[in-house]
Amino acid sequence: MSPTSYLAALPRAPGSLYQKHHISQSFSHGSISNRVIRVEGWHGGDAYISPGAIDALALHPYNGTNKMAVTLFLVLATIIIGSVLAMILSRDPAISALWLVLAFAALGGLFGLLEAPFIAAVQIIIYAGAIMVLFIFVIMMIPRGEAFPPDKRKITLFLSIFLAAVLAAEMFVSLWAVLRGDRTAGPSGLGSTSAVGRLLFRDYLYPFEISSLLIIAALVGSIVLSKKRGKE
Amino acid sequence: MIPLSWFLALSAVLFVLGVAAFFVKRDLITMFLAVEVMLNAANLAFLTFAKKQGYLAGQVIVFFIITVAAAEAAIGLAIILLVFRQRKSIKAEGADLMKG
Repeated sequence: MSPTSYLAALPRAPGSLYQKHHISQSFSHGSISNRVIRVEGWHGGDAYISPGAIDALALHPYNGTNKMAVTLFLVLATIIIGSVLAMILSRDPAISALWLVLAFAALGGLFGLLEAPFIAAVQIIIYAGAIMVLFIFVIMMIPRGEAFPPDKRKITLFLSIFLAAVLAAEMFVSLWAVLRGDRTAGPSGLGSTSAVGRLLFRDYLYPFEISSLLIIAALVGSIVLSKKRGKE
Repeated sequence: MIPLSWFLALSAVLFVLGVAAFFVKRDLITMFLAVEVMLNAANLAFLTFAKKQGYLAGQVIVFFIITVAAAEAAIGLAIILLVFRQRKSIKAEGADLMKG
């Protein structure tokens, strides 16, 4: 493993201290001589690298795949903006909600690009999954104007077959990669699940517990609100 | 590295689209969806700044925003159902009982 990737794989929680022997390469925006890192504003002692300095030193894990990341960003941003526009332009709330599911799933991909894999998973599972399903549930409870016109049904059939094929291919590719054994290590960057969990259950324990209270209140409130008033 | 300003620009565009959708659309459910778009724009901005600062609190805040969005969706949709039961319509114009 090259020194760069070794450094990038180190935990990068704020205030983490990097030992001198971790660093043995010179970089473009700073220099390392005699295994001492020289960053702007740094004077002697152990090499302390703030996460900002890591970005400045181009030690980012995605650095090697710069072009791919940019391409991914552009594709995802196009999908997001396009599907939000489609949500605005469509007349049927159900179609709007489905477009928004696509937008939120693509946004989850962007969260992954921002070194937030845990939040990306939460976004896709809870936002694009649970919350939007709740929306679609309620939309289905409200009678809508017109169903699909019959001439569109063929398109939806082809579309669903296509989507099912893509999904199957995706699953087989990921399964194949796992079985072949080139699995990658879990994310070790800024927003790794363990780091977020540590912060959530240590520094933000009270807000976390209070949010469970909020969920209970919302649960009770929505049940009371949607209960049919029978005999009182 | 992708410039973080791109993410902020996308966040701004998303927020503006959400506001526009909120004012353009007539039915309550799509207006509610527009609010979700705005919340997600805020999430994107939070994550961008979290990465910029290298401090995880931004990601935790996003976690809480998603929690609040879930609670808000449950309550809001219950209210929309209630409005529909009383007025037989989910148009925003119908719900003007408290208009002065």
